[in-house]
Amino acid sequence: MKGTGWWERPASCAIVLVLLAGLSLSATVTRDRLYAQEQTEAQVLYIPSGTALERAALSFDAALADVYWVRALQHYGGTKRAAGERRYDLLGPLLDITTSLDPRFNVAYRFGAIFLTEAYPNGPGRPDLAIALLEKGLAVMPDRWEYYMDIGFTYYWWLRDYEEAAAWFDRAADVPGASWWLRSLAATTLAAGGSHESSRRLWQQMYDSADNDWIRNESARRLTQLRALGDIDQLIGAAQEFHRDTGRPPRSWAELVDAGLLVGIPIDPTGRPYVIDFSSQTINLSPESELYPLPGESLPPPPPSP
Amino acid sequence: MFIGIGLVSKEVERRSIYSLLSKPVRRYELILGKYAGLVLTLALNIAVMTAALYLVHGYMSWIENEEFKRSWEAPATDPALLRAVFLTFVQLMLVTAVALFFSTFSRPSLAAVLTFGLYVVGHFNADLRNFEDVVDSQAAGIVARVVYHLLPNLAAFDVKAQVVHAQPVSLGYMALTSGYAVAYIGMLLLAAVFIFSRRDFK
Repeated sequence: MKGTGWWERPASCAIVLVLLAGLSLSATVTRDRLYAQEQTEAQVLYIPSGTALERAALSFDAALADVYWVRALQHYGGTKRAAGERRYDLLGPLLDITTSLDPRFNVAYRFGAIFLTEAYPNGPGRPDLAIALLEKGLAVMPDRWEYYMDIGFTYYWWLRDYEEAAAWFDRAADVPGASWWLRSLAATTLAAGGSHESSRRLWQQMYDSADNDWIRNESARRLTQLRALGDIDQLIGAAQEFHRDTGRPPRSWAELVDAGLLVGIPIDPTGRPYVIDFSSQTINLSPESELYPLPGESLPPPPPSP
Repeated sequence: MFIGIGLVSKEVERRSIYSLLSKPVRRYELILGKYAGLVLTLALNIAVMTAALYLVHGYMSWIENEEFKRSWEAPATDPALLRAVFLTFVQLMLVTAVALFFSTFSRPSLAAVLTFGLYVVGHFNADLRNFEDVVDSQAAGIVARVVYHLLPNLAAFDVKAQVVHAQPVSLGYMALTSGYAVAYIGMLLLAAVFIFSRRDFK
């Protein structure tokens, strides 16, 4: 039986197809826009064990490791950009799975550790997980001096444990092929750990030896943060001088300007004015600043999910 | 999926399509009828499995002590499970339409490979949405986004985790996801009807 309906004519068929495609597209775009949170909540790990996944992946474990690495990146990037409360609960497990599937996934160890250490709200603020991840990498690749250095770095910058940091820099220096400056870095850390100058030297060396743009940019950001810390030290000095001269703490930047202690409202290296808290007499970056938060001044992360 | 693959292609392979088309039935009616029949079969399967699931959950709820049950994030016989069941059913309707579409112009083995491939890709499709966040190339990001909208997004139908963890699945989300499926199924069936109507079986 020969039909002559509109569904047999290419033109009418194409029009209806385009209409249906438009409907499907608008439904998807609306859903993604309105219910992004519900989709994020779906990011639950059905198989949290990397070892179990490795068995299940058969010979595709390296390919699956790539998939999980992309997921880890999306989880980190997506959460960092999300509005409202940010939950990085899956970052640690995703990185663990990635490195279990491909134990030699160098980028996952180094970048993953950076993501994990980043203070909340820009990251989960979990240097303990970062150290565990790097130690896992060292168990497989003990010749990777960069991992020793990264652990030392985590102790130095995030945990402020300079003795432990120096010990890890020393271990890094012991690895054949390690950078020449690690030995002196270990000594400097032990002697003057925590000083802005030693921190600046550390980040400068990180910047100079970076083998990719991301680490170079991150090092440059830390160097700028150190400049801000130096500025804050000077501002505290000016405020203390004002207190000495007048017998009371300053109530505004304008008072310090009027007293000739500052030439104008102080701004950080990104152009945002510094913030002075008159109740606690502390000076800090503006929360809107790209450099915020400074090390040790992060916001408390939300409690972990039950 | 595998029944859907054979819906049309097996009729052609066995040549039973000739006797079917000699009956007073239009080609589009044949396609839509086969699709409707399979969807009804799926509905029955899902209904039976849902009933069995609730029975098992009810039994578990009955035998477990209160202290253990306090660790459950949602009650065992939570009616919200039906939302996940419904979206699973809609997802199966979409996969059946994909299988039927491929079945109208390819052999069963090829249709099976294509449908299974699309099924797997459909579950990873959501990863393409924010691909531009992880690649430097803007062009690659745009291509990934186009592919995201072009391929069926099956992950969106999977709300089992939310339901099990007592997370809300709003009616708006369900309506938009179902609307998306209806439009996508419409496209696939229309394409299937168009191809099948113009196919020469001589």
